[in-house]
Parts: sequence; C-alpha cells; structure tokens
Amino acid sequence: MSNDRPPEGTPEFEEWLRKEHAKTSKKIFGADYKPADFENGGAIFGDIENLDKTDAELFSDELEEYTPEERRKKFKVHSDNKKKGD
Amino acid sequence: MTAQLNPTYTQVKNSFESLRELALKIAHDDLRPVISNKRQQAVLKNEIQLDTFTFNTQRELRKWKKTGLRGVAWDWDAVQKKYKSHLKRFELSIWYRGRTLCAASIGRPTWGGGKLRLDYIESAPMGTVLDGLATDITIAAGAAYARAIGATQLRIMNPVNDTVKNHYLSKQDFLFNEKGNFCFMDL
Repeated sequence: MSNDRPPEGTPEFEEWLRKEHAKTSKKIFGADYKPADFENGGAIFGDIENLDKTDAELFSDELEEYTPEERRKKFKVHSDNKKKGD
Repeated sequence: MTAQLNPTYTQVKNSFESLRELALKIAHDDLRPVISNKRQQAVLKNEIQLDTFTFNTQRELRKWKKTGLRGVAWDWDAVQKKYKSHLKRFELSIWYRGRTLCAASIGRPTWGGGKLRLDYIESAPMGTVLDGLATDITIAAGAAYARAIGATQLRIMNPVNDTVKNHYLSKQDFLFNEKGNFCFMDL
C-alpha cells in the first residue's frame, strides 16, 4: 500500500483510493477473468459458529489481534521483584 | 496551543459510513461496462447496484429464508444485530436492476485494524443473473473498503466447501490460511 495517503474526506483521498483500487480490481477482473462456477445460490463464505468469537480466538497466532485484556490473560507477567534472600 | 478533541460517536459513525459509501461507489465504477455471468449472459454494469444494508436488503433477506432453499446457513437478522455495534463494519448488498437482491455480505476489520474480514457472503438461493460474479464483486468492494480504512489485507473467512476454497487458491493473488480457515489477499 502506498504511504502517500491523503486525508480522508478530501478529493485527493478519493483520487488516491481510485488509483489504489484500480490495481486490485485488475487482479480480480483481469483479462483472463472467468466467473465462478461454484455460485449456485446460497452460502459461499461464513460460519455462524464464529459469530461470537474474538479475533484473538480466530487468529490465535497473531498477537496484534489480542485486546490488552486478552494479552494479560494469555501471557503471565514475570516479576523480578522477589524479596532478596528468598 | 489548542487541545485536540476526540471525535464524537456520531462523527466516527458518519466517517465510516462515508468511507463505506465511497468504497462501494469506486468498486462499482471500476467494474467492466459489460461482464459475463457463469451462463455467458452479458450483464451491463449499469444494471448492477452496490449498496449497504438497507431496509430493502433486510426485507429481501427475510424472503430468502422463506424460500427454504438456503440449506444450512445463518440468520441474517442475528448477524446484522451483532455487527451493528461495529462502526467500522463492511456491509454490502448487490442488486440487479434495483429490484433483485443478488448477494449480501458483512464483515469488519480485525481488532488490530490491519486486516478486513469478510465474514459472511451469500448469494440469492434461487439464483440470479449475477451467478458467478457475486463473490468477486463482493471481494472487489471489500478490497476498496479495506484500503479506505487503511487495512493491508483482505480475509475471506470460512469458505463453505473445497470448491470455493480451491477456486481462490487457483488465483495468483490469493493464499489460504489453513489454521484460520480463510482465503486472503494482500493489498
């Protein structure tokens, strides 16, 4: 992604988004584009079992998806503040 | 020196509504003028409309339920209720000629904000003229919104079967995460 992202709500932002999206659109609907055979009506992606799961539960390997509270629960804090002589 | 005020709830809500609408507009503008569906029927871009979840969307989704053709699927009312509190959510309804709801999708950014999840994608159970196109239009719209909110990856969660999964795995720009059960594309 480009770093030259203009402020949201400006004409420059819309122009930037159009340019960025054009690259993705080309990947999805490129010259050799074929419609999906699997679409016959009905569910395509999704699992209702995940409706109430957090990102930490869904992506347990990704620490950045844990809320601070979830991080505290997952990782024990080790302290060096033991009393001397213990 | 002036104090920086935090935006209000309404300002944040309006800001993401604007980004959703802009993303859908750009995604639509970027569709080909004419595109073929899976039955090789030509569909004009101008006959396709992309919208968020409106009252009409809810009404049509309830009709889908009544068809009895959906098989194992989710309750869209429950899903919408769950996502309503996510101001940054993605939502999309795809219409043909403004009357036929062809597909619906909902998702949200991950907690860290760097990825956009498309959590539910369903096409009309009775089939429509957009068969074969609905998922890719959804992915394109999701990608536009992901960029708009600053996400760098689009995750399409839980393909319903191997045919769906393998379809995207066969594409150059998609990968699959086995553990998380999602197809993804870096933006």
